[in-house]
Amino acid sequence: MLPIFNLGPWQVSTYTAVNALAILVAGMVAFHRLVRGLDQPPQVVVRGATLIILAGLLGRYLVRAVLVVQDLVRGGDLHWAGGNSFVGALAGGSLAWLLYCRRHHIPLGQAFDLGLAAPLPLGQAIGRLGCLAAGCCFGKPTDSWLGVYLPDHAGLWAMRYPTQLLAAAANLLIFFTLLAMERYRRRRSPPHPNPLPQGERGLSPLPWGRGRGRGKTPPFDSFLFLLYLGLYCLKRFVLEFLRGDALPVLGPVSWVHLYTVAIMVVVTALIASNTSSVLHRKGG
Amino acid sequence: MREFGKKSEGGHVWLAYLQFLVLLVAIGAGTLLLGAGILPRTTGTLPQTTGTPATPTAVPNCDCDCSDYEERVTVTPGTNAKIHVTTVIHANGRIEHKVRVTGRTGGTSVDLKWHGPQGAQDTEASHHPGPILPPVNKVTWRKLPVDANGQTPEVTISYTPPSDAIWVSDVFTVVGSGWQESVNVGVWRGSPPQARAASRPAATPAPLRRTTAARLDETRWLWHATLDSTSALTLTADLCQDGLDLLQADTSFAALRVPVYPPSLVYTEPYTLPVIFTAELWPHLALLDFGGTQLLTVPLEYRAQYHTFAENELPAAPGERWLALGAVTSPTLTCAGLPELDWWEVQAHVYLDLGGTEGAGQGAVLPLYYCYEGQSPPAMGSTLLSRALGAQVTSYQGWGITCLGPQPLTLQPEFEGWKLGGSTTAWLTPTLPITLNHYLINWTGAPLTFTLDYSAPLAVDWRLYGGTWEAPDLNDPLTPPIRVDADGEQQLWFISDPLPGDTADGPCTFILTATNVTSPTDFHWASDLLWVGDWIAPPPAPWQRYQIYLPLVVKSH
Repeated sequence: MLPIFNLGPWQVSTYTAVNALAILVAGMVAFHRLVRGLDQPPQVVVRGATLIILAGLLGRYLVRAVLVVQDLVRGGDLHWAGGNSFVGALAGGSLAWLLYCRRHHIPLGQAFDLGLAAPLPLGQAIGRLGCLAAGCCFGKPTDSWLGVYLPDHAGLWAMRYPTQLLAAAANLLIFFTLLAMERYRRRRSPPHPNPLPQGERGLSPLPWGRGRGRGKTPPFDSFLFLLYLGLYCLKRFVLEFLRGDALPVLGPVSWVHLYTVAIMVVVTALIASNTSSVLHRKGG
Repeated sequence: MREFGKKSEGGHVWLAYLQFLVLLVAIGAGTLLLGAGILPRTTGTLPQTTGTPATPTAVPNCDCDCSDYEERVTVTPGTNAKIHVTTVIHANGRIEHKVRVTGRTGGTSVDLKWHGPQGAQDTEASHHPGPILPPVNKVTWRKLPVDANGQTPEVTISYTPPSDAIWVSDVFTVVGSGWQESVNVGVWRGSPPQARAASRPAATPAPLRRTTAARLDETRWLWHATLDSTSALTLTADLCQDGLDLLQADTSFAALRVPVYPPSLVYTEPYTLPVIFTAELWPHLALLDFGGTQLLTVPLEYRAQYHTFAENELPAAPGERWLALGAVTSPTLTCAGLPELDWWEVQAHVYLDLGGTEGAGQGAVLPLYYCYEGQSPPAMGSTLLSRALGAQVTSYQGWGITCLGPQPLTLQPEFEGWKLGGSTTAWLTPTLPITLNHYLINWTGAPLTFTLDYSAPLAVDWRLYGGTWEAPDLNDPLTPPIRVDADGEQQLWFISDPLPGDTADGPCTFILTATNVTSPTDFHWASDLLWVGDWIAPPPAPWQRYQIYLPLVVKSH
């Protein structure tokens, strides 16, 4: 669509430029939330947030390195085929953030809620516009009213589902849903006069979620992050049916469907179990 | 933001924000530079650049979170590398090429590949470590250094061509980081092929189902052909594998004659091959299901060994050269896991860059032949490809290769104003009527009126009806001239009387011409291939007879 734009004497990849913008915006939002939400010196947050981004970028491209090694072993040809992986970025960023929080005794659940849950969908929403410009993640051809005249990755124009725009809109919706949920819970749960000891309020299903609560990210630490994972997988699951590059493994079901369903099941179980624990404690 | 300005353990909060912002900007800039997101701007015609398709099998081609690993649509690097070839034909028949790459390559080294004619012997190459292993008609120089002036060392390749070859063809390909470019060098060892071709009978144009060319930008074209399963041929994994094996067996190819730049008046002069191989635009076949999902992708590559055949035996034209394309022979692709498909479609996507040629190819008609080794159509399980090939007008059989065609490929912008469309391949059975569908589309924004002319070498009368895309409306007979409303379309259904029972077997072509009544020079044509009776294999090439004129002198008495 607009894979390259000219900036004076330079040709700039729209995709990469938009991704850089997404990192900038999402990074600043994450930083702002962490500075305000965590009881940590700003410099600690600066280092942590920087680490998330760098590790995320590393993870994003490291997954592709597996293919490079695979090609090297198979054909003796060292060749970078390009590409990146959001899942790799998420894994890399999360792992680095986890280790960093452990080292600095930062409550992990809060850290994930503040640093990743809301900024990620915002960044993804912006990044999808880069996909639209590059033509990747294109939709299937369609005659329905949803159809927009768009190219695929090979530059073939057709009336297609605008999957990139739909994904951007869905990500924005997730972003605002998470913010609304956070605000709603904050209003309903006034801060404790005295912080609860470690583990008392940390009803997170994840080991890193048992942080010292200040009443800001109820109902349990890491709830927002889990909710984000669930909503993201739900969005991905639905949009996969509309995408033209889906690789089916069983009828119309692709392996993306399978792993998103698996994650949704796990996330739903964790949220349900921990919400139930919260209610049980309140009842008790 | 009350915390702003507050001095805490870590310093001023606003300072932290500033630091982090600077870090983010630096990371963003680094991403742009490291990810080839920003490059010096190129000027002039688009170079034929960037790399080979990353993965030849069916993979999700996207750059986003579609899977654990994904393809990336990258920017075409600003390169302008050229391959310079100097050719010497030695007295002993050996051919020697001296090759050098110059220009902006975007890196400190490149790979250079040579693909010579089949049957080449005693190949010797400079700058090549160790002996040249079979096949000796392929050599790759890896990581040729590029100096500060953008030049590689001059490498030499020499070989002895097959003794009976009167024309040999060599393809040199330079591969950089994410781009590649090819040139073809033809060496003539006999009389000029044009003279031979001039005496060849003109072949009848014949269409393959829905083959088009559409302009992508000022110099680039998309050659798009589709073969679908309208005849309800269920595609199974086995049948697909048969077809794939045939395509990869190196015995079938498509030959296309293209204008080249420079026009190559001298046979040994190199010229640029127009097929684009970039990360985004690379020639391939794609198998799609009903929903348009791409199930299998088969990359195409040059079949250099058939260039010689095409240059010698298919009709030549000044300033134009033949190229041969076929499926990659390695790695071996598989249809394993393919579901059974009642409705499927094979699409061919080939992108041509005709920059430098006259009008960038605008208006050119490129003859296209489908060729296979042998006389009979290739048997492929239940005749997958033969359905496409066997329906073409047979025009040539020689060198053990049968070519079907030509199918004219007209290069014209798809949205030129109006279009006469429709192209059918049909088997005809005597005593049954014939139904052919065409259509007129008018994008000019004003109503247009067209006259219609048609010709068909069949002794039947035709009637014209309107209707829909699916079926004719027998209650809507049409009489030319035909008016098409602004931004409207008109279906043209030609229905014949029953075909006489004594109609001879063989091919014939229905040609329809539509002319804008306000501009007699504004016309388009479309054609249908009609085949009466069963497939008849073409006869082998006849013996050639030569008349010899001796310098006789009448003796005077």
